[in-house]
Amino acid sequence: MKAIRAIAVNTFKEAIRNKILYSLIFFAFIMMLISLVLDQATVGQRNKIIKDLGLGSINLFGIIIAIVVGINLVYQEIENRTIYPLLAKPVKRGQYLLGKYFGILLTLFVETLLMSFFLFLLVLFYEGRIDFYLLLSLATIFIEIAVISAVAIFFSSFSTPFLSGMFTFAIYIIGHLTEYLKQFGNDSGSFLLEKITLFFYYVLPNLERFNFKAEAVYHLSVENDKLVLTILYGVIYITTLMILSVVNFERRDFK
Amino acid sequence: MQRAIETHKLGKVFRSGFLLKKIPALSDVSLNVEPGTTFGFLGPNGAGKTTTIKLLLGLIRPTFGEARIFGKSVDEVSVRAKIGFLPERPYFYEYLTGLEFLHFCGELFGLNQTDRSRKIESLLNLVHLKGAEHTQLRQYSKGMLQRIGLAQALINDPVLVVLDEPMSGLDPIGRKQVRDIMLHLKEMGKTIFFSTHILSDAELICDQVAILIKGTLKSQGKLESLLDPKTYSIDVCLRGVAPEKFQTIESISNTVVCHNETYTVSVSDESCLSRLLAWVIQEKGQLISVTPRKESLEDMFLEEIQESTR
Amino acid sequence: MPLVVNMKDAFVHKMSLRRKKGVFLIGVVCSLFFLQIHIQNSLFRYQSDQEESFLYLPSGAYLKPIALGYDQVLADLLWIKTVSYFGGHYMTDQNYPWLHQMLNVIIDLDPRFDFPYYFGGIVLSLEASQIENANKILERGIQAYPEKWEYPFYIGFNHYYHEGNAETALPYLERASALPSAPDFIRSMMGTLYTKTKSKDMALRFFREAYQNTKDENIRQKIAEKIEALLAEESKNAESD
Ligand SMILES: Nc1ncnc2c1ncn2[C@@H]1O[C@H](COP(=O)(O)OP(=O)(O)OP(=O)(O)O)[C@@H](O)[C@H]1O
Ligand SMILES: [Mg+2]
Repeated sequence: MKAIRAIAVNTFKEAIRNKILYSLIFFAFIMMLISLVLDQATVGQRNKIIKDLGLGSINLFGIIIAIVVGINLVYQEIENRTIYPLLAKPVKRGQYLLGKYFGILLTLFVETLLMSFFLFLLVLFYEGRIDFYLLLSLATIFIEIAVISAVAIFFSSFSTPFLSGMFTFAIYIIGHLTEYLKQFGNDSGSFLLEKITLFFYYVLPNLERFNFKAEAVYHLSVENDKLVLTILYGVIYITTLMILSVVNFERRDFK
Repeated sequence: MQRAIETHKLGKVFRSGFLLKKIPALSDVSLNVEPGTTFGFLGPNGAGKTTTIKLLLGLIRPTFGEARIFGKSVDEVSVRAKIGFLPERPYFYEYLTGLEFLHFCGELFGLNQTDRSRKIESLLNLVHLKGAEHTQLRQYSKGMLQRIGLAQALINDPVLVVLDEPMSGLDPIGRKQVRDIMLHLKEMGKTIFFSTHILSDAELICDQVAILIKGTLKSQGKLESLLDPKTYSIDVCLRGVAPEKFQTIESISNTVVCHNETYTVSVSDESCLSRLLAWVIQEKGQLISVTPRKESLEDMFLEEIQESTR
Repeated sequence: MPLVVNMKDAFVHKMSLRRKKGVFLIGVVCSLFFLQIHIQNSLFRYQSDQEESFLYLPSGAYLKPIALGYDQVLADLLWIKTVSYFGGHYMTDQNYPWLHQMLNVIIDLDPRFDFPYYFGGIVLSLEASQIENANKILERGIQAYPEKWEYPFYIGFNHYYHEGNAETALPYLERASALPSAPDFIRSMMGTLYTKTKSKDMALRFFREAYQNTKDENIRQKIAEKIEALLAEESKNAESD
C-alpha cells in the first residue's frame, strides 16, 4: 500500500514538474475569449452556451491529457531505465502499475477540479448563482477520463506510445459510437455484422453513458439508479482493464 | 548457511524484432556466491553480465534454469528487501532532487520518515554528496549519478549488494571513491556482487571472480587459485644503448618496447635475465628497473577470450 | 546433488501456483465482463425515447455520432453561425435558403435548446416566408417541450394568418389554450376566429404577444413594422368607411 502511494505521489509530482497544469491557462483563456465573444454578439442564451462550452472543454482537455500522459507514463520509464531501481525493490509490478494509474488519476483530478472551479466562477459571474447541476456532468466526465487513462495504460503495457496513442484515440471515438454501431448492425440484416457490432458494443467502453451534459445544463432529473449503475459501469470497466494491464506487464521483459 | 546467490543452468534467449528472431544471450550459467564475499563478475562487452544481473533481480524472466537468492526464488518480491541494486549507466527521475529521490526509494521499502531521514543523512556522507542533495538530478554529473545510485542501493541496509559496472565512465578520483565505498561495505560484512571489465579494480577488491564470455561461464573461483602463482615474465627497463645493438639479443628476448629512449625488454626466465644483464653491462647501458611479473587477471582474461574465439 | 532435485521440485510447485493464479484471473476477468454487460443492458432501459426518434432523421443524425459527446457544443457553434447567417442575409438579399436546414441540424444535435424553435417559428414564417418549414420546426418544438403553449399557438397562427385557413388553425390553438401556462387571450382569439374569417384584430394581438416574447432586436423591429403596417391599414379602412 505504502509503495503504491509513494509511486502515485511521485507520478503526480512528475506531472506537476513537467508543467502539465499549465494547460489550465489555455482553458481559462479559451473560456474568457468565448464569454467575451458571446457578450459582444448577444446571440441569446449566453449562459447555456458558456456551460456547454465549459463542460465540453473540460472533457476535451481531460481526455487529451489522459491520452498524452497515459501512453508515455510507463513507456518512458522503461526507455529511460528509471524503472530498474524501482522494480529491483520489494515492489510488485502490479503495485507499480496501480501506483502509476492512481498518480495519473490524481493529476487529472486536480486538473478537472481547477477547470471546474473556473467554470463555476464564470457561471457565477454571468448567472449570479452557482449551478450545482453541473457537478453531475463534471463527475461523469471524470469517470470517462479515468476510463480513457486506463485504456491508455492498458495499451502502453505492451505497445509503443505512438501505437498506444492511436489505439486509445480510436477507442475514444468508437466508444462514443457503439450505440449507433449496434443499431447499424441490427438494421443491416446481416447475421455476421450484427454479431460483430454486438461484440464491439460490449467489449469497448460505451462512453456515451458518461455524457450527462444535457441533463446538467437543462437541469433534467436523473434517476439515482441510473447514476449508480453508470458509476459502477465505469469502475468495473477500469478494474477489468487494470487487471489485464497488470497481467501483460508481469509477463514482460525490460530490455 | 544459505548461499547469497545461486543459479542453476540459467539461460536467456531474447526475442527481438517483428519476426521475434532468437538472440541467445546466456546459457548454462551456474553461479554460487557465498555470503560475505566480494564477487567480481567479469566479461567483455556483450558477454551477458547485465542480462545475468537482470535475471537475478527478476527484471527479465529466464528462458531456462532458475536463480535463487538466499534460498528463495527471485520471483518472490520479498527477497528484494535484502538486496541493493545499482543499474548499469544509472539514470533516475531527473525532476527529483537527490533528497526527494532517496526519500522516495526509502518509502518503497516501507521505511518511515524518521528512519529515512537518519539513513539518508549517513548515506549522503558516505557517497560524498552532502551539499548536493537539494539539486535536481538532471543537474548531476555522471559521477554524482553513480554515487546517488549507490546511496539508493544502500537505503535498505541490504545484505546483498548487486552493482552493474559501478566504476565505468568515472574518472580516477570517482573510481577511487566508489572503490572505497565498496571496501567499506566489504568491511561491514556485506555480500557484494558486481560486474566490471575494469580488471585492475576487480583485482584490488575481489575475493572471488567469475569470467563470462559469450554467455557462458568460463571459470569461477578464488582469485588466487585462478591465477598462476609462478612468475611469468621479467621486464627489464634500460636506456643508453643504441637501437641497432638490440639485434644481438634476439636469442634472449623478442619483445622490445621503446618509449622515450627507454627500452623495456621482457625475458621469460632467470637464465635469460642474467644473460641480458651481462649484455647491458657490456654495452655500457644504464639499468633502470627489473620487474618480475606474475599472471594478472588481465592476462587470464585475454587468454580465455583468445581460447573461446579460437 | 540434492540441490538440483530441490530446485526441480520448487519449479514444479511454482508452475502449478502460476497456473492457479492464471485460472483465478481468467475467472475474475470473465465475471467482471459479464457484470459489465449486465449493467450496460440495465442502463439501456434508461435511454430516452427522444434520442431514438431522431435516429432516422438525415444530416443531424450523421452529425450527432461524430460529435463524440460534444453535440451541445457543436449545436452552440452552429447556432452562432446561424445567427450570423441570418444577420448577413437580412442586411443584403433577405433570402434564407439554408436557414431551416441549419436550424434542424441544431435541433438534431441539441433538442432541448429552445431558442431555435422560437427563432425558426417566427423568422421562417415572417421574414423568410417559409411557412411550411416554420411549422415543421415548431412541431419538433412541441415534441421537445410539450408543456410550452407558444409552439402550437404559432403553428395555429401561421395556418390562419398566412394561409387563411381557420379550420387547420383551430386545433392548434385549442391545444395551446389547453396548456396550463397558456395566456387568456388565446381563448378570446379563438372566439373571434370562429366568428370572423380573416381578422386583423387577431393578427395585432398575436404580433403584440410575439413582440413581448422576443428578445432579439432584429425580430422585434420586424414585428413592430408589421404592427405599424396593420395599424395604418386599419386607420385607412376606418377613414374610407
Ligand atoms: N533486450 C534485448 N533484446 C535482444 N538482445 C539483447 C537484449 N539485451 C541484451 N541483448 C543481447 O544479449 C547480449 C548480452 O548483453 P548484456 O547487456 O548482458 O552484455 P554485458 O555483458 O552487460 O555487456 P556490457 O559490458 O557492454 O554492458 C548482447 O549480445 C546483447 O546484444
Ligand atoms: Mg552490461
